Formats: sequence, C-alpha cells, structure tokens
Amino acid sequence: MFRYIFRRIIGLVPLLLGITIITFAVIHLAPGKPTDMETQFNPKVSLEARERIAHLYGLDKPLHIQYKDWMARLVRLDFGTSFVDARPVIDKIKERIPITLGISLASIILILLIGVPIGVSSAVRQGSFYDRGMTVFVFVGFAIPTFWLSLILMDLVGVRWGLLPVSGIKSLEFEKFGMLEKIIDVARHLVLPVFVSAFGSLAGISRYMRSNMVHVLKQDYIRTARAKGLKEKDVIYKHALRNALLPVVTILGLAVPGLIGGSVIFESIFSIPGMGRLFYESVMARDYPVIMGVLVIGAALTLLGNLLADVSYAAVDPRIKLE
Amino acid sequence: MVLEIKGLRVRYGVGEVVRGLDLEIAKGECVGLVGESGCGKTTVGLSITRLIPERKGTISSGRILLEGQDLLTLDHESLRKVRGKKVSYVFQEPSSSLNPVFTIYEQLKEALPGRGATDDDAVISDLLKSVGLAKIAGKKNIYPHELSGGMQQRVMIAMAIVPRPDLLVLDEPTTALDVTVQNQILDLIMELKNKIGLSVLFISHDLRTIFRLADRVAVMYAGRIIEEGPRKRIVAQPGHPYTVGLIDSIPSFEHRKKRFDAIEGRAPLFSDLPQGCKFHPRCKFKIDKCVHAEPELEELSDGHVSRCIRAKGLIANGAIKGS
Amino acid sequence: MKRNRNNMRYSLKIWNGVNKLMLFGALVVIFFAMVALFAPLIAPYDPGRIDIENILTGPSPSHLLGTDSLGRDLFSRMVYGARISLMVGLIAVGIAAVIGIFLGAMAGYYGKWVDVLIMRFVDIMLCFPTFFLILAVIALLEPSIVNIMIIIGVTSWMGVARLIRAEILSLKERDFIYAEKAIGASDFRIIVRHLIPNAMAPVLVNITLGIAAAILVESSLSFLGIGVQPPTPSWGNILTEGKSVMGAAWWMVVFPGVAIFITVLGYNLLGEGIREKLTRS
Repeated sequence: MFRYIFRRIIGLVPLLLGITIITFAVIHLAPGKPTDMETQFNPKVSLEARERIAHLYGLDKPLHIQYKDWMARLVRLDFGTSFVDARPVIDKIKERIPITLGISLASIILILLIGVPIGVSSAVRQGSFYDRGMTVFVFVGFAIPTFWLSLILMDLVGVRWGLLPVSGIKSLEFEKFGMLEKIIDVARHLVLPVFVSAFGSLAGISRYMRSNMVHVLKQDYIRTARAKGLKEKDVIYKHALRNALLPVVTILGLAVPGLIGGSVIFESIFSIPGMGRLFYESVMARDYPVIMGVLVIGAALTLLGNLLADVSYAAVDPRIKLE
Repeated sequence: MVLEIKGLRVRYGVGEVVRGLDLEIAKGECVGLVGESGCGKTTVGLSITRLIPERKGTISSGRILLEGQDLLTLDHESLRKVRGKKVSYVFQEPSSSLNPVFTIYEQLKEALPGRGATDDDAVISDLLKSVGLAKIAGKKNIYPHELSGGMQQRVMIAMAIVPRPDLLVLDEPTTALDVTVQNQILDLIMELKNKIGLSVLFISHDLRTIFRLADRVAVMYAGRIIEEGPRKRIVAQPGHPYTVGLIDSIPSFEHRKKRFDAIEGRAPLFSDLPQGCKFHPRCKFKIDKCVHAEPELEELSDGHVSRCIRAKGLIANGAIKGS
Repeated sequence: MKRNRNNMRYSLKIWNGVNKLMLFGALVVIFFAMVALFAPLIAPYDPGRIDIENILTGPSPSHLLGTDSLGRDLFSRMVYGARISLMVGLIAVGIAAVIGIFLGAMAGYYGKWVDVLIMRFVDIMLCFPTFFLILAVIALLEPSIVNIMIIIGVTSWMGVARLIRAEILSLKERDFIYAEKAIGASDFRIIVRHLIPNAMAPVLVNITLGIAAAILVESSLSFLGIGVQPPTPSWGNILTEGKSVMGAAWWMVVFPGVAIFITVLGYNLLGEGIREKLTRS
C-alpha cells in the first residue's frame, strides 16, 4: 500500500513540472507584460523606470533563466511577494485555502448524500414518472448558470425573506459569540455557498450514478443474486449498489478542479474570502505572483484529489491489487 | 413430475420467442434442451422462476408447475422463496455470474438454506470440497477474480446444489470454458446428479454435451420443441431433419459419411418467422405441404415425438438415420 | 403478468420521451440561432439607444421585457446578446475542435513519443481548474470578444483530443487503412480523408455539449466584468447590471438568466440526444 502511494507520488513529479511550465508560459508568453499594470496607468513612469521594475523582478533576464530562478524558489514554497500589499504569496494563499477546501468538502458530502440516492432510485425505477422527473431535474441542474442561481437565492432567501446571511462567512459581532453560536453563525453563512457550489455537480453525479446502476443491474451477477432468491432490497442495495458506487470515488477526484474553479464565481458573489476570490482580485489587480501561485497550487490540489481518488479506489475494489 | 411446462408463450420486443412449449421433467431425470443460439432455450430456463428482465420480455401465457404448484401465479414473495431453494441455476459465464466485489465465502453463505447458523463455516468448507475446491475451503478472503473460469463454475455449482433443489437448471454451464475444463465440469455435474439424485434441466447448443448427460432430449427450433425423446432412441434414430443436422455437425461424428455438411442457412428471426414448418427454408426434404401449415408433434414411437410431417416416411426409406 | 405487459408499453414510451427531449433541444437551438441571425429585423429598438424618459420600466407593450437603468430596451439588448453568446460559443468550440482534432489525430496516428508527449500535455492541462486558467490569461489580454473566444477555445480542447485519439487508435488497425497504405497514400491523406471523418461521431456529441459549456463560461466571465464589455450587450453583462438593480427591476435578472438557461439546456438536450442515438445504433 505505502509502496503504491509512494510510486504514485513519484509519478506526479513530471506532471507537477508540467504544471509549472504551463503556468510560467501562460504568464510570460502571452502578449501582455506583467510590468504593464504597474506602469501603464501612470504616464509619468518613464521607460527607464519601467526597465528598473522589470529588473527588480528579473524580467530582463532570458526566459529559461527566469524559469529556473522561479522554480528554485518554488521548491522552497517561496512564491514571491504580492504586487499589491508586498505580503508573501504563500501566506496569502495559506489563509484562503482552508475556506475554499472546506466549502468544496462540504459540497462533495452534500453531492454524495443527495446525488447517490437520486441516481440509485431513478435507476431502480427506470422509466417511471419519478425517473423521468429526475432526468428533467438533472438537465435543469446542468443548465442553470451558477452565478444566476446565486443571485436569485441571494435575493429571495437573503434579502426578501431574510432567512440567511448572504455575505462573508461570519457576522460582524462574531468575536462576541460563544463557541456554539460561532459554529451556527458560520454554518448559516455557508448554507447558500455550499448549496450553489454543489448544485452543478449534483446533476452530474446523480446522472452518473444512475447510468452506473442501470449498467450494473443488467449484469449477470445480479441475475445470479435474484436466482438465489435474495430479497430484492438485498439484490439492489447490497449486490448492485456496491458495484455501482465504486467508480464514483474516481469521479469525485475528477470533480476537484471544477469545484475549485467554480469557487471564483460564488466566492465573488457571496464575498467569501477564499482562494477563488483571492484569484479574482489578483486577476483584476494583475498581481502576477499571486496569480501564478494560485494556478500552481490549484493544479497541485487537483493532482492530490486524483491521487486520493485512485488510492481509495484501489482500497475499495478487491480486483485492484496494491503491491 | 417435478416440473411440467404447459403451453408456455414468451413475448420479447422482437416477437414471440417461445411459441407454445410443453416440457416435463421427472424426479431424478436429466432433460437436455438443445438448439441453436437464439432459438429461445435460455428463455425457457429463465421463465421457470420468472427471471426474464421485465423490460426485455414477458410471459404471455402458459403454466409452469413445480411439484404441482403453478409458479406463474405466485406473488413476488412466494416466488422468491422458490428461487435458490426449490429451483436453482448455473449460468453460462462464471466470470460475470459471480459478484466481483464480494468474496466467494460471502456469496456461498447467501445460498445456504438456514442462514446465520453457527456451523456455516464448516458447511461451506464441506461444500467447496464436494465440488473439488478443497484448495480454497476454509479461506474466507478469496474473491472471484482470483479463481480460474473452471473454479468459478465449480463455485456456481456449489451455490446451486447446496439448497438441495427440486430442480437444477444448467444453462450452457460449460460453453465458456476450455475443452479440458468442460469435461471436468461435466464429470462433476454427473457425479453430483447421481449422488444427490437431482432433477436437471440441461440447456445447451452443443448436442455432444447433451448426449453425455441427458436421459431425455428435447430439440428446440424457433421457439418450439420439434423433437423430443429418450436419448438412446434419438441417438439411434433421430426423427427430424434438423436433429440429424445437429448430430452431423458434432465434430466427433465427422468421420462418418456426410449426408448434411452442416445445416445450411441461418436460424429465422423471430420478427420474421416463415409460414408453415419453421424449418422448411433450410430443409432438404421440404415438400409443398411443409410451407402451408406448421406441423403438430407426431408420435414416432413410445415417448419419441417429432414435428415433421415426413418423419415416418423419411425414417422408413432410410433418408434420415442415426449413427 | 398483466403488470409486466404494462411495463413493456412503458419502456416504449420512454424511448419516445427521450426523442421528444432531443427535439425540444433542437428547436431551442434553431430558435436562438434564428434570433441571432436576424437580430436587426427582430429587435424593435437600437440596443444602444438611451432613453432617459423610460429608465427601469417594467415589461410593457412598447418594451416587451422592460428597460434598463439607461432606458435601453431590454428585449433588443437580449436579441443582440444572443448573437454574442452564440458566436462566442460556436467559435470557441470551433477553435477547441480544431486543436483537439489536430493533436488527438497526431497522438493516435503516430503513437510512441508523439502520443506520450501530447497525452501528458492533455493530462497537465486537465489539472488546472479551467476557470482559473481562463482568468489568468484574461489578466494579460484585453477582455475583447475575440480574446474570449480564443481563450475558451485554447483551454477546452482536451476532451476532443482524447476522443479522437481513442477512435483513431481503434480505427488505424482496420483493413481499409492498410489498403490505403498499400497503395501509397500519404499520412496526411489517411488522417484527413479516412481517420478523422470516421472518428467524428463521438466528437459531435462533445462539440454540442461544449457549446453549452462555452456559453456558460462566456456569460460567467461577462458577469464578473472580465468578459464581453459594455456597451456591447451580452446576457452575462446585462445580468451584472441587473444585479445592482435587482430589488427594483426583477426583469433585468430574470430574463437574461432564463435565456442562458434555456439555450444551455437546448444544447445539452441535443447533445445527449445525439449520444443516445449513437449508442443505440
């Protein structure tokens, strides 16, 4: 098991290297220049000053040298300092990551809790009114723009009905609360963001679960289970479900980039200080060190998600041997 | 009679695939049901405990009596108690008929009649030994994929015989296996049948394996029985041109002078069955009368019937002969 | 048994149902394509015409969907917005398809290190949260319509590449390809004339669904203010404006949202319908 994980981690190194190369290429090969931002809005900045700034960031060196320098710092987890507030990029990201990951994790749990039962029950009642209703629901879920859903929910639930807070992750008077109140406060703030974040993938997972289950129910071993005289509930919830659930583990790993990418939208709308909002703000401010840092870390998180998915798949599927 | 099938009709989307079929199995008897693939023989086997998937096809009429009880009128719960207790099955593909994510031990345990008894382990051990799997007796953590096809089929057989069923349905139990393994499995089935005194419905496209095991043979074509009789009599004197064709296509009989090379043409489609005798488009002895009406079963000798209007004549003039 | 027979009939009904959904999708797609194509004929007003007499008026006979905070006719802006959304969707996916088909065909046909290199590249690209990548590139470029189309295309070709590669891997061992090689056909001819056309079926599904995704991305970007820039109307940037006047003018939020929703739904239904057809045959 540990050897397998170790081997997989070694296998990730070339991918990580590729991620840094693409990140670097995106920033340095695209027509705009990182120095434009700091200088273009200020006509007084002379050509000489522009070159001085370029020199400061090492932007006057050949590209491969720049990449080498950047990588040399990267392996020490030094992503440089923000153009905006001169704080180390890694610190800025560190304080944002738990929020985004927390919301993503809560979304994944919600997706599983709702998506799996929907998929299974649709497959079992394949072709019924319920199944067709769920198919429509799934397509609707696919097609609703997240940001629009956020807006509507914010307006209805937050503004018109006043049921839930719609901005940030804690109230102003948060520090005065007791432990329990603090937890409830954060939970109330996160209901809408988590719901919105889960909503899009919910449709995908339930559809995936349904087709898995439909496929499994056609398998020979299900006929065997029925021929044995097992109760229908054992046939479905024991024999079929375990088989249909296995691949979902992998899909959850693949959902990570979508969830993190989606964070830009709902974190901006709900003013949640997570990685997505940090990224959005950095893009608006052309804060290149932060942009590069978030890109690399976002991609690395995806790799980690895939690794976790593969390892857990190997752990739950008896057919896969870990040597 | 252990099993009496009377006037069974089964309808699939493409058409009627079992078109009025009668079949009886006496206690301790092994009846072989033979025919080309797609003639409806598997459907007959599955119909006995109504294992045909609902969306695939339905039993439209007929009676299936097991020890005098009509299985087609049972409610689901009573039917479930027949499955795997009074009637059990061994299917064609052992590799897909066992659930890949449960251990052999768990799957055998489900088939035990009095489940939850304290001596389950010992019973399963003995059971595995009795089907020639002493090697894995007592090992609880073996999954299906760790066994060869032949061993998997032995597990399936163990699962089928453990409840001491009134009727064992073997649906092409050796087709998916290597020739040497086929013989071992057939030997095992024969041994168990004699030891336990099972009543068996043996379904196969391979007349040679049918001749090895069956006491009585029923030949099926286009959804109906076209010849039926004691094995010895059919071997000595087949009563239908189709049966002769099947016998002649057995490789071990190839040395003798060929009257048919193989049966020419293809089995008819259920969506487009010919008028009259369903075999006439492929029959070398066809006369005008064959095209008009489908013949009834006609008794050739005691217990030997044929659905060919020319059977008696062809036998008399030596046009169709046994080996 | 009676129950079973009913179920039979039921399953036939579902089959019809699936086709109805696909038909609905196709109609939606055609409808919005027509709206986009004939926008100048359909729109009652110039989408940029400011009318300070009629600021934020609700739906009425003269302004079917109401007006925005500059008194511009929302219906006209939405009609022209359809042009933008569909154009961005189609062209972005066109770019993605060209890149994906080219790289996928290279990887599948030449195999060996070419394959390894291209597929590793695909793996790496798939690691990036797409939206992050798009945003990062936008930070460098001006957010113009052309740039948006290019960026979406350049970041969403990986699925097509994988599909084409897989199809070509299975096709290239077929007899007709050997026959072509035997008569001395060039690699280019074999790939373009024989392999790619034969591999197009699953790609078609991917492209149809891709258009829906691209429309969603464009509207999200425009909503965030880094996509199509005002005064050019797009469904996304109408919503941005709608957000600030949501309390007073529901139509500014509801109509553009519904338009995006129905268009995306249409392409998804059409795509899934095609997929269903392909897997059936």
